[in-house]
Amino acid sequence: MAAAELPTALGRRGAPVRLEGLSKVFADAVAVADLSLEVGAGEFLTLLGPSGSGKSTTLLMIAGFLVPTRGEIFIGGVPITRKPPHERDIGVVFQSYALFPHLTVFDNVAFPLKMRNLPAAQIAQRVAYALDLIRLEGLGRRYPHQLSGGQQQRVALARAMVFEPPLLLMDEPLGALDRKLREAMQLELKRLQRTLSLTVIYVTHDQEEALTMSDRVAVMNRGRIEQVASPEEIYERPRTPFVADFLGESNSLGGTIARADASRFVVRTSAGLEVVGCEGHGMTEGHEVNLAIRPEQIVFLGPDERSDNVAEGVVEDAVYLGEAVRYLVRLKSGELLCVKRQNRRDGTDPKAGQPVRLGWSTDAVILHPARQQQ
Amino acid sequence: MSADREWESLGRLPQLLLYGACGLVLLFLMAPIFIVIPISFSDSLYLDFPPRGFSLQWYRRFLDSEEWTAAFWTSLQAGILATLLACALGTAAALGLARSRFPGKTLVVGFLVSPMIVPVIVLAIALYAVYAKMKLVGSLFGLVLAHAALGLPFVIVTVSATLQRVDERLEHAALSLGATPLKAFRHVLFPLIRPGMIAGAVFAFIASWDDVVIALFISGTRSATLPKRMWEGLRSEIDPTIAAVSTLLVALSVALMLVVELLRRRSARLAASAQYAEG
Amino acid sequence: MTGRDLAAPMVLSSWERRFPAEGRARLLLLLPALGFLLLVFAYPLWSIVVRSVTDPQPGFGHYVQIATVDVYLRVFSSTFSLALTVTLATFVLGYPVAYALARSRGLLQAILVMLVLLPFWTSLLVRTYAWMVILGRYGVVNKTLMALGLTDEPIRLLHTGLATHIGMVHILLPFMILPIWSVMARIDPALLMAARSLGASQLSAFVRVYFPLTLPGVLAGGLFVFILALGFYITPALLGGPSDLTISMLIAQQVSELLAWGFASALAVTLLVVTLVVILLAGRLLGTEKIWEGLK
Repeated sequence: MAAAELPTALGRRGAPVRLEGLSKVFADAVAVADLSLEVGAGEFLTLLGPSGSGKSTTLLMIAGFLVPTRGEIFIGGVPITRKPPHERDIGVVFQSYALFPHLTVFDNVAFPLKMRNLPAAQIAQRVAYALDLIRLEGLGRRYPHQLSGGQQQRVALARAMVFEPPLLLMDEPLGALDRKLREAMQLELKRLQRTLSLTVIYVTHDQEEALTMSDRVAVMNRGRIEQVASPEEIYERPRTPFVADFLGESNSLGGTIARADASRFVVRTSAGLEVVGCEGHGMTEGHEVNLAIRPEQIVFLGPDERSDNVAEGVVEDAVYLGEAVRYLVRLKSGELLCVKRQNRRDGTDPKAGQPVRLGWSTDAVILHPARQQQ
Repeated sequence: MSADREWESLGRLPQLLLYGACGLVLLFLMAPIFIVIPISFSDSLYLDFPPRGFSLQWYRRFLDSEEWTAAFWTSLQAGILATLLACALGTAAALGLARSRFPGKTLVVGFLVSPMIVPVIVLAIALYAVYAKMKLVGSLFGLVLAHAALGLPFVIVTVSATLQRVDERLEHAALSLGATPLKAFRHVLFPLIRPGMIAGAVFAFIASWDDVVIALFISGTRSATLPKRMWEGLRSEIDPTIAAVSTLLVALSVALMLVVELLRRRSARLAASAQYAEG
Repeated sequence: MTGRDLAAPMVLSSWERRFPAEGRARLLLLLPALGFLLLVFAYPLWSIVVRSVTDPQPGFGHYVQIATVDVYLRVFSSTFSLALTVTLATFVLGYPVAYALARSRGLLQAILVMLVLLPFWTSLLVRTYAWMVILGRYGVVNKTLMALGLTDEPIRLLHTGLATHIGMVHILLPFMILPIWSVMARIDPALLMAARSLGASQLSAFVRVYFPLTLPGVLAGGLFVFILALGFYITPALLGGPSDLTISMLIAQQVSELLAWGFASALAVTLLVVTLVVILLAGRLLGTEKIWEGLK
């Protein structure tokens, strides 16, 4: 049921958003430094990063609760940086929901419409539609404290969406929910966003959440964006060691380029292991580099199997994760590699103390120039 | 708070001593107040206790006397106006103080609260000196100003305490949903701090209603307040009309005390439900 | 693109640091109350400070008088000792009540609270008047004593120092009880249980663990009572005798009867300064947060 079907729909859609050179300095620290970003109309973009990376600060600046030290914010091409929060026409879902405790669910959801002086009949219709959309029809007369956490979260969402804002901001809204509920809500949110063509900027520190829901992910670290790309690109081709490490797990190895040509390169790690990879980024012999290899892309080779990269070692530890097993393998060259393997329970699982052969392809090797990162 | 079983029970003797001592002290506290009541119904002219006969003459005296009723109205007017002024100024100040940090905040807070700490006599003669020059002695306006200054700290303290319990993000939510700061106050903040405001208003009213010292100096003879009239009565005649007035005042105190207690419970319930809502 | 903004420095000026942009508008809300108090409160106080050194002629003559003339020194010291005695008395009487309040639950506690609060809410004049009735020549006490045959003539109880003490203790008692109770209510009973389990007798646990924990409330209450007692006017004026003069009575006398404005101002300023000094000393010794909590 699209919003446009509703006879009294305001007929608005998500708008494109542009951040230019946004910075925020507090008395003792730079929280956001020169951040520029473009979000397309109807796109779901996630700001992902650890605490302190500046993602919430950025959100608060877009919402208008923090004044940027520098920079401009545009929604639909219109600069809003100097507008106070109540004139920005942006929907915000807070981590703690911030539902008005003295108003019913109905009055909570109706609030933005009331502030826009819509006629009562229209308000009633729109609220009913919104409650329907979040599957809480009939609970309009209840008070927030009478609802469960998941229900409150949905009411907060409905309230932020009911006036069809050009932009919807969400600050870790699912943080307080348990795992099953969270996963269900992620799908709900995505569905609603698509149905209503909302532009959403979503903040989270949970990389799984970011990868599941987003059209694009912006990984933030210490006030800057390290990489903006689709979930696949972010995960498969991380542009910096930080991104590689933050998303998923990765084995990090330092070394120098021993040989390199147009199609391949060979890196010798500090421990003497030689790794072959294929995307050299134009680096040449002698360059100091960081290698990242995802644990799930390393396989245990049978005695005759071959691979682009082969290394021998002994299993030091095996941790049972339910759907997978995580192994720590000490290589002959001395490094410790983490290998993740789906739990097949067919008797071929390596055991601790067992000597093994590991293999991985050149595609699995992610290369970054060595820098004072992290 | 802890359940009863967490307190170790006292032995018989200590418990007896404790509640005995406590009872005596409470008797000491309560008795005088209630002694006044029977006197107001006595039929004799003297301050007899226990009174010999029953009569409502002192109440009639009070209602018939122009002096007394005028004093009553002056006190009531001053009380209401001063309370309104203190509430307006105090709520604004509490809002300004809440969640803001600035250099010298402690000093500002100390200054705003200082009317509670300064000895009343000092303030009374200071105001008398200034009012005398500005011809404000005996004016309702001057009285209201002085009493509002007395009541202001109470409003600031109670509203600030209530504000602390209100989540800041509720205001942010209201603003993000399109409410101007004024509307956000009216629709979201005000309902939530109303109990604090009312409690502060009651304290401010009492401060004005019960004030003797300041009124003694600045309320003049023709527009005396009720306490001033009582004071004059106590200094000179000691007629039992005062007992009647006192009884009425005690009744008022009881009523106000119940109001504040009910409010306190209501705001505690609202705060508890708001906390629960946070999930 | 605003060129000006992109060129803005990435370091905050000290002004911006101290008054962050987000909170600036809020501070305006403070102005009405501040302005009001400056006008109605600070200015009059300032004017009597000025008056104390200019009326009738410029100089510190009044203060010298206060510091040297015996009569005035005696008034100050007797007011001080009155305040001290009253404070001690309210402590002795009030502590058990606070303790009983803290230990009681449910209906009993509600009743006890009402019994403490009702006097607190009753007008000062009504309570003082009540004591005039009780202690008067034909008041309750004398009547009872005569009825019991203990005396033939009514004893002079009213218009004595004793009456002043009794009246002031009665009025200030709730101010001692409430802060102590509020601190007691926040003491974790587990602390006492720990002390007992470590071998302390009930008395010992009380003296060594409980009482020290209640000290902040005691001191807050004590400070409050002391300060109020210093400035008391009504009760000593009505209940005291001609030789029981307090500072505030003296000030009132100087103004209403003698029109000695300069001297009265000096007395008032002295009283104010003494009060502030006591508060500051207490704040220094105890830490101001505890007092603040006690007041709530």
